[in-house]
Amino acid sequence: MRSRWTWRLVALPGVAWLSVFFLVAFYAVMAVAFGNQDTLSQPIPHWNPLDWNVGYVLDTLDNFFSGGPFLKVSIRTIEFVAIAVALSLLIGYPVAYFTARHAGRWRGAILLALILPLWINYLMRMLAWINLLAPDGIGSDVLHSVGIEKLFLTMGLLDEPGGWLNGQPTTVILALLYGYIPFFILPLFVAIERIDRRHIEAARDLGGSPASAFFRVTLPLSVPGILAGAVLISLPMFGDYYTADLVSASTQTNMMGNQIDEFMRQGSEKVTGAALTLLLSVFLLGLMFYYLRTTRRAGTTAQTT
Amino acid sequence: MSRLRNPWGQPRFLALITGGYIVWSVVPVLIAIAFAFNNGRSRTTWQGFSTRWFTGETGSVLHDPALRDALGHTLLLAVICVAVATPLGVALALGLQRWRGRGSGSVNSLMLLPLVTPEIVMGVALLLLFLQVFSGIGLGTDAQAIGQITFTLSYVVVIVRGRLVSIGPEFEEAAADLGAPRRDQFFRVLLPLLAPAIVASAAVAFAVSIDDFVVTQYLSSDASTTTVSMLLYSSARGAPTPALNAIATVNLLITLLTLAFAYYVYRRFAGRDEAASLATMEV
Amino acid sequence: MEGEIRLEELCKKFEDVVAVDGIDVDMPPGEFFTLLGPSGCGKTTTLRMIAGFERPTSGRILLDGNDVARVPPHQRNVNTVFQSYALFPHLDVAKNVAFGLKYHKLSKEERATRVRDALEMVDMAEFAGRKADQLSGGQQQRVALARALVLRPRVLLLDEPLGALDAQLRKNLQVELKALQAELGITFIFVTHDQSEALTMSDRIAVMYRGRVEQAASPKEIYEEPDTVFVADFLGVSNLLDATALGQDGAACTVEVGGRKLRAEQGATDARGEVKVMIRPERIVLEPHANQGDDRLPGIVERSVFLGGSYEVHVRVLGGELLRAMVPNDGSAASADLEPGAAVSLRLPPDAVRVLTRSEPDEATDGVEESEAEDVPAQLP
Repeated sequence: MRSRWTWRLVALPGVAWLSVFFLVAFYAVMAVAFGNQDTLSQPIPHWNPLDWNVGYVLDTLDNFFSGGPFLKVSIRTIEFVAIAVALSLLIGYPVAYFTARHAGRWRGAILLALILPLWINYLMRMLAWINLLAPDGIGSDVLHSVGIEKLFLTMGLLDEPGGWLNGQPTTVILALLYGYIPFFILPLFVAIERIDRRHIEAARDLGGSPASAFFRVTLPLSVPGILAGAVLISLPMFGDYYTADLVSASTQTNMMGNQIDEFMRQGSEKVTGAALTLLLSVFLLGLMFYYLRTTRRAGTTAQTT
Repeated sequence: MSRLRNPWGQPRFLALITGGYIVWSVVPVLIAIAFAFNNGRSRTTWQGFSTRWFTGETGSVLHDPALRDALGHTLLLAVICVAVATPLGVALALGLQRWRGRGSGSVNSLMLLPLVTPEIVMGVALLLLFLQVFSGIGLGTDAQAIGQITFTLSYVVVIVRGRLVSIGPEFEEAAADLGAPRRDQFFRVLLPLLAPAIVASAAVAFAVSIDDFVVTQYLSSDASTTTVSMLLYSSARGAPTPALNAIATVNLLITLLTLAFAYYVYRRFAGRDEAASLATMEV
Repeated sequence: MEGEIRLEELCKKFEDVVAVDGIDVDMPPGEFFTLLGPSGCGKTTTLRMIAGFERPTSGRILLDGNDVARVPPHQRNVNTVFQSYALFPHLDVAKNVAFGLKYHKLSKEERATRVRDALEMVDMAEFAGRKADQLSGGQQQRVALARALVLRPRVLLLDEPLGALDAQLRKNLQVELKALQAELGITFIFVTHDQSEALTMSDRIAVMYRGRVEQAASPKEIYEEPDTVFVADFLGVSNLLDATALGQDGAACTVEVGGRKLRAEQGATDARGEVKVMIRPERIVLEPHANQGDDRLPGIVERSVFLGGSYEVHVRVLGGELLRAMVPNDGSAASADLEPGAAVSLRLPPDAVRVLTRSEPDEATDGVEESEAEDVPAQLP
């Protein structure tokens, strides 16, 4: 009879691959962050934890705590992500709810439309908006004629007419929203769909109005789905740099991702870049493990509660 | 069951929001695709219909070296990625699913981590890996392929594993009961039942690879390692021609065809419900 | 002897749960042998160990004298019909049935003939080209049978094969299965939780509870002479009463129930002190209240359930317990005696009263439940 090691051996290649190209890679980040740099500002990684030099990491932290540029970027990033996620919820929940509850025979088509953006190249979707929001773009014209441009100007959300793509936080946030909301709606749809209708029927049965049935039954039961979706999209958003780059191209809207990208790909201070990456990962670690936990549990139970 | 009213009023209101969302979501891309067929050089003003940006003499996807090479390189990476990630992932899925004893939880988490790790973290990590550790390999096609394989692996495992769970152990038990030794239990029973999932996961890996950006960019070396995604990124804000729209459209077409193929295979051989859950990628 | 199975001190532990607790069972060749018990009792685990899908923690499984406990399932001459039939979805019926023949060194023609014969035996010959998902539950079950029997095993194991079928189909298949077994003469080992199914079909029954065999005997013996309270209660109504055994008087034991003395000639008549006594409903004689005397308990009728051929009369006896008596619908009992509120006298013939001493464990929380449930990791050998 087969030993307990057979299947582990089968899994070994995959495990080995992930260990090397994921775990070791991440260790490299730590080795560089806790390392040094030479006269050409190239990193000298310290592989032995006992050799670790906390200097650069501390410098980076210091930058945060003493109100340096990193702090500004972080706060901006958190703002952008928070607003984008909030807007995702505002728009996404009704869509998910409708599709789960009221779509009827249109459901298949609607689902297809909801799934489609997930598989369209993210950059193509951004390209589409760049074309539209260019000063002579169709989108720009429409927004102008419908009056939204004026509204945004007066609200301070836009600096100048037609300047959608010039370092506007508004545009970045809306682009993030556009980019990531499909990844929010779909899991939320699944979660709402899973809610046993009998709970709602029971609430109605016991004399509740539709509104109360919603607020006291459906909404609470969909909270895990909302949280899961929120975490699912905020994780990549915190590391996003390309969205801001594409629709803004100004350091005024730099997110943490941009900061890291500057150090790693464009600038020379890879050590600081590694330190920032490390700090970002630690910050997100909590979110990552929360998400892993909830999806594993969801795999074994049928309901969202 | 009676139609339940929603608290904001009629379902009509929700339908409106949903419809509006879908329009907002899809139309910009449709416009971009439309402009790929623009007769002139503008990406914002319509100048008539033409396929010049796809097959024209100059500046088209077919004839412009930069565009053509980018597309070629994208496909090359995708093929390598699928060729390695699929067997690796199937093996990992099998091993994980049948793992007995301790360690399976950690391996499972390890497998899922790439899916929740922000791309820039992965990009930076892999960049440093190939600069500091595997400097012999260095940056370039090999590194890009390796990077892509590392996270598409997870997609393959999740899909195959899902199928393994629904297959269950009983068919192999029945085969054993009827006299089939280990080898035959696998090749005569499990593999045929698993085949749709393997094909589907390969297709998904392909699609994910084609659309990947951050990791591919971080591990690139020179112009010859440019992919379509990277091209879109670097050219979008410049003053490119609709050829950019065209190449994006071609890329999209390939992705959609691949996924449609995966969905079809799964549905034909594994059943409708399975295909639906595949589509929503319930991770 | 072909097809005899003996289990010796067979034990199976999953992590910290003991699913099978050292059982010894003899399954003679050519018999229809049933493992009967509630879910979680270990019957399926036992069957899987005989088939080879679970490795025993300790003990021996002797197939015609050879210990096969560590032999992989594909090398045992034992075949299984699964609860879910497990027909290979990617093969049609004929290929399913032919699956195991590949390992039997037959020519192509011989294979085809055997497949055809097997399918005819279960009346499924016309479905040879169909796929499993095109068949009904009952049809799938037959194909599963054919697939196993075509290999001419010495022993056929059946894991609750009729569980998923509707009542009528079940009854028909019970008859067919029994006839098939008699015709083929091979040993059938049948697992079920349905006691009436077990009683109808089996030559011998082993009643299992919490990993142990409570009793193994013929259906009649199990029903009329249960060894333990659990067995008495599991098969049919037992009318268990708490009693005190006072002493023996010749063949009979005198017991006191609710202040009245009764005589019991069955079971542990030499017991003393706290015991339980049981009597089957059909042995209780319902008499008018006026009849007093030995071996009688007075009571009030609570209700009578009309079952067509008989009445099940629920009588609250003066000690407080509820007894159920079976009264044939042949006009012998006065209808007045069957009305709720009627005062009656229940005569309990001593040769039908049985003394049981094994204490009754609390059935409400069956800790062994997990071991039979599906979330135990299926351990492929």
